[in-house]
Amino acid sequence: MKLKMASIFKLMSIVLLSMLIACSNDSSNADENSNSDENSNDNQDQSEDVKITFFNTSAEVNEVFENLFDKYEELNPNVTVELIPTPIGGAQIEKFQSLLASGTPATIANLDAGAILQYKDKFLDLESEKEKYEALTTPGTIDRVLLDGKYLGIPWTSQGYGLLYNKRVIEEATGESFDPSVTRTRDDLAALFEEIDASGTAPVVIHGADWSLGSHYTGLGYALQSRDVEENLAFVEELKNGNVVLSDNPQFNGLMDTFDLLKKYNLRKDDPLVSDYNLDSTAFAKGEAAFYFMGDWTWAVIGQLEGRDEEFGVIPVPISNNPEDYGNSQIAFSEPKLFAIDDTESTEAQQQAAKELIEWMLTSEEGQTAIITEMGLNMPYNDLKAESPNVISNSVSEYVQRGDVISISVMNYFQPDWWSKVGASMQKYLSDNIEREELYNEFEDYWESTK
Amino acid sequence: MRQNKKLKNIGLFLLFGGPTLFIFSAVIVIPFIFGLYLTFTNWSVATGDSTFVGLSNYAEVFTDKDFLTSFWFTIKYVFACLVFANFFAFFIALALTSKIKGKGLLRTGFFTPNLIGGIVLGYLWQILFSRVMPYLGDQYNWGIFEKSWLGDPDKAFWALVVASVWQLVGYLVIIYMAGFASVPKDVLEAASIDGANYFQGLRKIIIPLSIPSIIICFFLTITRAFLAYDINLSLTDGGPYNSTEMVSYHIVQKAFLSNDFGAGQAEAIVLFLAVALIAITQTYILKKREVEA
Amino acid sequence: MVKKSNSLIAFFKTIVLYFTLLIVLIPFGIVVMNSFKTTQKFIESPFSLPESFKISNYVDAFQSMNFMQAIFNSLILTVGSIVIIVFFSAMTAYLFARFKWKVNKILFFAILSSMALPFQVLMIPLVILYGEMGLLNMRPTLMFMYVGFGLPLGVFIFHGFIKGIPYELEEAAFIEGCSRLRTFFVVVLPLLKPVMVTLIILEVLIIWNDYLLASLILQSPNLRTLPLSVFNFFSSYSVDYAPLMAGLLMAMVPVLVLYLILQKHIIQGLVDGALK
Repeated sequence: MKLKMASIFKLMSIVLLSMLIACSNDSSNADENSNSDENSNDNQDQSEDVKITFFNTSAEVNEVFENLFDKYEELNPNVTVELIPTPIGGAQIEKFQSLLASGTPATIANLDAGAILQYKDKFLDLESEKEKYEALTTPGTIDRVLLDGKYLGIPWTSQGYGLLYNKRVIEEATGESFDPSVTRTRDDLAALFEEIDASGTAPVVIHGADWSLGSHYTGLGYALQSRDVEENLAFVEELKNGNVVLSDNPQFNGLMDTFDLLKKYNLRKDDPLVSDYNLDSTAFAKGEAAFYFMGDWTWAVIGQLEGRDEEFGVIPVPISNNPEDYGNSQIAFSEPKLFAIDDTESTEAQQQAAKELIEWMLTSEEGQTAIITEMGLNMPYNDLKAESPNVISNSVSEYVQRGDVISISVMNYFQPDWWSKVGASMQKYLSDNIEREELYNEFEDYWESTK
Repeated sequence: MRQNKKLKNIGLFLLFGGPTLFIFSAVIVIPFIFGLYLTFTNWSVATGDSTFVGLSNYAEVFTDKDFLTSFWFTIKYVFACLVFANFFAFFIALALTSKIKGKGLLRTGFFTPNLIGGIVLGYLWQILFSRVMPYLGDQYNWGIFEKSWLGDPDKAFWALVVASVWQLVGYLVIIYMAGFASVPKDVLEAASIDGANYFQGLRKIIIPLSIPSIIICFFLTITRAFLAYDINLSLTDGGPYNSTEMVSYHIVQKAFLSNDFGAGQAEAIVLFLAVALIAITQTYILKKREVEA
Repeated sequence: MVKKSNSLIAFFKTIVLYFTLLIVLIPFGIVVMNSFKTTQKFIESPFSLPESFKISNYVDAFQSMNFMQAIFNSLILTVGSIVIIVFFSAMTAYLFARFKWKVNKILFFAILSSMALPFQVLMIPLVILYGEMGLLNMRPTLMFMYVGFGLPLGVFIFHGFIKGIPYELEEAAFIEGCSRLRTFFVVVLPLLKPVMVTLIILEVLIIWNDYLLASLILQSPNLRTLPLSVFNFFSSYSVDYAPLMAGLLMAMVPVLVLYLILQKHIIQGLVDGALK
C-alpha cells in the first residue's frame, strides 16, 4: 500500500513539474510579445519586429492564406502573421465578439461586409487609402463596398450568383448548341426546363439550406426594387413600418413565381431539405441536373472533382416575361468579404504592417495567384497577373464587363440573423408546408419585428 | 479547548476545501456574478456601453415566443434521452458485470462513441442521416429511411435523440459499472442468475443498491441534455426551418447573431435556474430511496 | 431445469449484447472505411469499399494538423488538469461527506448547481475578466479553467461513493495516531480507486474533446490542441471529409489506449467489491 501511494505522489510531482516548465515557457513567450508591442509603440522604426493576426471567416481557404503568409514572412522577416481560424456558421461571429470583448482583437479581420458595418466603430477608417484602391480596382468596386459612406473594408474577392448551367447536359437534352443569352424570360426558362425534363434529366437542383434560400434567393427581392441602394433601403423601411403588402409587389411575386418553377423541376423534389452542399454541387457538376441556383464560389468543390463536366456558366434568375425588366438580364454581384483593420487595441505599427500586407496580397503576383488560381475566386482588380481556372467566375465576369449586375449591398444593412429567419420560412415553402400567402405573412412579420 | 477545536476545524476546512473553492470561485463564481450583472445592462460588444436597464431583459425572456418554444422542445428531448440512455446503459452495464464471453471487447466497443467530441459527433450523424440512410432506403425500399430524417421536424427530433443516446449510453455504462462494483458480487449474481425471479431480484436488490449511480447518471443526463448545444449546431443546425432549435442554441443565436446579448444572457440565467432546480430535486427525491451502506 | 433456462438466458443476453454492439459500431465502421477513400468517392458512394488502402489521407491530416505539436499540447493540458482535479475534488468531497457542517452543505449545493450552468453564461465574462488580466493565450490559464469546470463533477461523484465507505476504517487509523490528511491518503483514497478511474475517464473525455473553451483561450498555432487542429478541416460551405475522418481517428487513439489500460482497474474494482 505504501509503495503505491509513493508512486502516485511521484507521478503527481512529475506532472506538476512538467506543467511548471511548460508554463514558464509560455509566460516568457507572452512577455516577449508584449515587450515587442511596447517597443513598436515607442519607436516607429520599420525594422522593429511586428506581429499581426488575421481573423479568417473564409475558413475553406485557411491553408492558402497560411501559405501566403509564410511567403510574406520570408520577404519581410520582421513581420509575423498569425492566422486565427474560425469554426463554421454562427460560431464565427461568436468568436469574433469574444476576441473583441477580451481586448485581443485580430489586427486584420476578413469579415462579411454586414458584420463590418455592425462593428464599424471598431475598425480603422481607410479614407487615406481610398484613392489608391480606386485606381487599383475595377470601376464601381469601391463605391459598392462603402458602408454608411465610409471605406472600412478593402475588397479582395467578388462573387456572382444566379442560375448556374451545365452546358453539356442542356445541349444533349435539346440537341442543339446552347446560347445562354436567349433565355431572357420566365417562359423561356419554363420551355427549356420542359425540354430537359422530357429528356429524362432533372432540369434544376435547389440547394435547400437557409443561407441559399434566405440570403441569396429572397435577397434578390429587395435588391430588384430599384437600381439605387438608397431606394432599396427605403423599401425595407416601409416593410418594417408595415406599409408594404408583398403580395402586391411585382418583384416578389415574379421571384416567387420563378421559384415555383424551380420547385416543380427540382432534382431534390422528393426530399428538398437534404441540403448537403457537397452532394448538390457534385450532382450539378456531374450532370445530374442542368441548372443549379448557386454562385461561382462553388468552384471550390467542383474544380477538384474527377469525372465532372467541363463547361459551365451562369444566367440570371428571370422574374417576369418582359425581357427588359431589371433582373432578367443581370446577375447578382457583390464583394461579400472585406479585409478590415482593427482600431481598438492594435498599435500604429501593427496597423501599418496590416496595410502593407493587404496591399501585397492584392497586388503581388504571389497574392493574386493564391486568390485567383488556388482559391478559384474572382478579384475585382485591374491588370491581374494570374489566370483563373474557374469557368463560372469567368462567365460572371462577362456580365460585370457589360455592367449587367444587380447590386445586393442592401443586404449589408440587414440584421445579421435575417437570412436564417426568412430562410426558415423559405424552407417551409420549399417543402410544401406553407402557401405563398403564409410565406409573405412570415416575411412581413419578420420585418415588422425588427423595427 | 472549544476554541482550539474550532480552529482545528477551520484548518481542516481550508486544507481539504481551500484549493477547490479558490479555483471554483475564480473560474465559475466570479464570472457568474459578472455575467449576472450584465443581464441588468444593455451591454454589447459592438457598442461597448453598459447602461443599467433593470429587469427589462428578463421581461423580454417571457415574451420571447421562440425561447418558450425551444424550451418545450428541449424538455421533450431531455425526457427522451433520460429514458432511453439510462435504460440501455443500465442493462448493458448489468450484463457486462455478469459472466459473458468477450467482456473486454464489449466494454471497449460500447465505450467508443465517447471518443468523439460533440461537434464532430453531430457531423458524423448528419452524414448518416442525410446520406447513408436514404441510400439504404433507396436500395432496400425501407420506408422509414426513404427520406432524410433531417428534413422533417418530427424525425429530426428523433435524429437528435438517437445521436445523443448513442453517445450517452457509453458514458453512463461506465458509471453504472463502477456502481455495480460496490455491490457484492454474490448478491449481484444471485439476483441476476435465477431466471424466474429475475425481475424481482432486479427490483428488490439491484436497483436499490445502485441508487447512488442512478442519481449520478440521472443528474448527468439531465444537465447534459438540457445544455446540449454542439450536437444541435452540427446535426440539425436548428433545422428544418428552426423546428429543432434547442434552448442553448436559441440563446447563442440571440446573444451573438441577433446581437441581443443582455436578453440572451438573461435567458441563459433562467435556463440555469430551471435546470438546477430539476436536477437537484430529482437527486433529493432519489436520495430518499437510497439504502445506507 | 433451472440450469437450462439459465444457459438459455445467458445465450440470449450474449446475442442481444453483440447485436447492440454491432449497431453501435456501424458509424465507426463507415468512418474507418471512408478514411481510406477520396472525399469525392465518399460523397458519391459512402458505402463502397475503398479500392485500395490509401494512407494519403492520414499523411495529409498528420501534416496539416501539425499532429505531434497538437498531441503534445493536448496531453499536457489533459494530464495536468486531471491530476489536479482528482486530488482536489476527492479531498473536498471527503470534507463534505464526513463533516456535515452547514457551510459544507451550502457549498456542496453550490458546486452541484454549477453543473447546470450553461457555458454561454460564463463565456463572455470569462474572456473579459481573463483578457483584462492579460492571461489569455496561455496554457496554464486554460488548464486552470479545465480544473475549475472539472472539479464539480469530481466532487459530485466522489461524494456519493465516500459515503459508502465504512467510517470504522478511518477510526482505526486515528487510533494508530494518523492525522486526517494521512488517513485520507492512506485509507480513503485507495478505496476510491474504481471511482477514481471512472472519473478520470469521464474528465479525459471532456477535456480531450473540448473545442469551445480552448478556442476562446488559445490563439497561437503552436499552442493548438487536437480538436482545434481537427477543425482546420471544417469550413463555411464545405468540408474536406476524407482527411477529416483520418484526423479524427488519429485523435481518438490516445483516449482509446488510455481506456484500454484503465478498464482493467474497473474490473479490478468489481473483484474488490466481491471480496468485501
